[in-house]
Amino acid sequence: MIRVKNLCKRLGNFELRDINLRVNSGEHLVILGPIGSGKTTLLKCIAGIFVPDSGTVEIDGRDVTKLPPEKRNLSYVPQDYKLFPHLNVAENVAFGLRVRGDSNVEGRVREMLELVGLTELSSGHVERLSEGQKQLVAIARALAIRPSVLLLDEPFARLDSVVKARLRKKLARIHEETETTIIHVTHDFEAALGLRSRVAVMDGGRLLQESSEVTGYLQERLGYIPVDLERG
Amino acid sequence: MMGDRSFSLLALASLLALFLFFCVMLLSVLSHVGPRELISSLLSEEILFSIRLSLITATIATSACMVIAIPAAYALSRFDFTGKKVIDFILYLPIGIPPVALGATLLIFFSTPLGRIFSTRFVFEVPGIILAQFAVIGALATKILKATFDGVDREYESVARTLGCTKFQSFYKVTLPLAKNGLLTAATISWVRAMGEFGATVMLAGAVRMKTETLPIAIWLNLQTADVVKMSSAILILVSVGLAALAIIQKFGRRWSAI
Repeated sequence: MIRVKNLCKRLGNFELRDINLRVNSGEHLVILGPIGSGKTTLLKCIAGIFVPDSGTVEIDGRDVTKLPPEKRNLSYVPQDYKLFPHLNVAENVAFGLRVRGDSNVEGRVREMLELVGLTELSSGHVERLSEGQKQLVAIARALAIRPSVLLLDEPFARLDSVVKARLRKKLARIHEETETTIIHVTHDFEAALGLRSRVAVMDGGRLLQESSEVTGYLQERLGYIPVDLERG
Repeated sequence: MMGDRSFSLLALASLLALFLFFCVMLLSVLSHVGPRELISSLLSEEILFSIRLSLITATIATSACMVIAIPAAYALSRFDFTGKKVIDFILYLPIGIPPVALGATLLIFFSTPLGRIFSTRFVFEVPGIILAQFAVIGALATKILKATFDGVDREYESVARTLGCTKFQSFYKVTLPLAKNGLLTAATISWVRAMGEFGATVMLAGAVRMKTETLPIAIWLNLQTADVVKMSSAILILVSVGLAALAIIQKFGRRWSAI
């Protein structure tokens, strides 16, 4: 479980204000919000890449606010994946395992590549992959270390609509199979819906989570309430 | 108003003029020395000594420079601290001021009470050559490396950190491999610059034949004695070294351009 309490972070003129958030183990939370609303800043505060000005971050009941990223046991997948270009696909997936001294690197890499359906590309160069394949390798690399939480920053942003739909299904399946807690931020409202996940909204550095607040916001922004949310 | 065609012709003519200027200079050196004289001069005790001394001192100075410049450039690129802009500005000075002034500064330092402790080891000695070369290339290498690290997206390090790397591990497992093109360029340019260093070296280590006689100093000493053949040999060696370095940078620069 992940819990964020009263988190504030100022970056230039932008401020993340008094964020309170609770994500249960195995839950998939999608945070929707326009570009510049503070979604990535929140993810980076949770990941330990940014140090919050105030407030706390707890993972599985442990206060990790002052811990560096490597001691939080979470994985972060940025918008442009950031696959290491000097390593091939399998080496990218193995990266975190090797750093942590895992005893079964090869087995775990094989397992992760099977999970994302890219076994045949294991020795391929990451620069030659399609955008969708890069995203899947990044997710495999992130999940390989068995993180408590997977943080996904705009995972569909660079994909065309066909690949986006395919990856959305795949992500839902990966979530079902691994039961990893996922916090997924996106500005793409349509792509995020249909993931059978809880939805929160972020705008202007504030987080809206109550069902009535979220539906009210979406009604105002989209002019309708998406079917997924109407069903609750 | 200058027309498109006139402008293109002017640009191409300027390029051709510059190219011819350097070709004429190089050919004039070759005109002073025939193949037989060149070989005999290259095998002379003095030129062999100069080649050996230049290779050794430039390699040591470049290695020492890279050991210090890599972490220093990383600090300048990645960390925010008080006085960073002042340090960044001061590092431009050795690039902007003449090497002879840098050498004179070193010589003045060795005349201070602190400097006198070490002066016998450096002034008019071989370690003085290395120190003079280091003074000239240190800032240059740091500047090239800083630009290289600036070009490596910090997000790679962020991802590496969440995967379990400490700050140092993310530096050597991710940032350094991604910066290898810039590392090679910085090392090569520094080494070539050290091989050709004259001003600071002559001020600190002097121009002592068969003692502190690097290739540029051999050029100067042989000019004094009007030995044009030996002087031309030393020039041609330095030109060859420069061309080889340029070829290395271009070859690997292209190969690693995708990274």
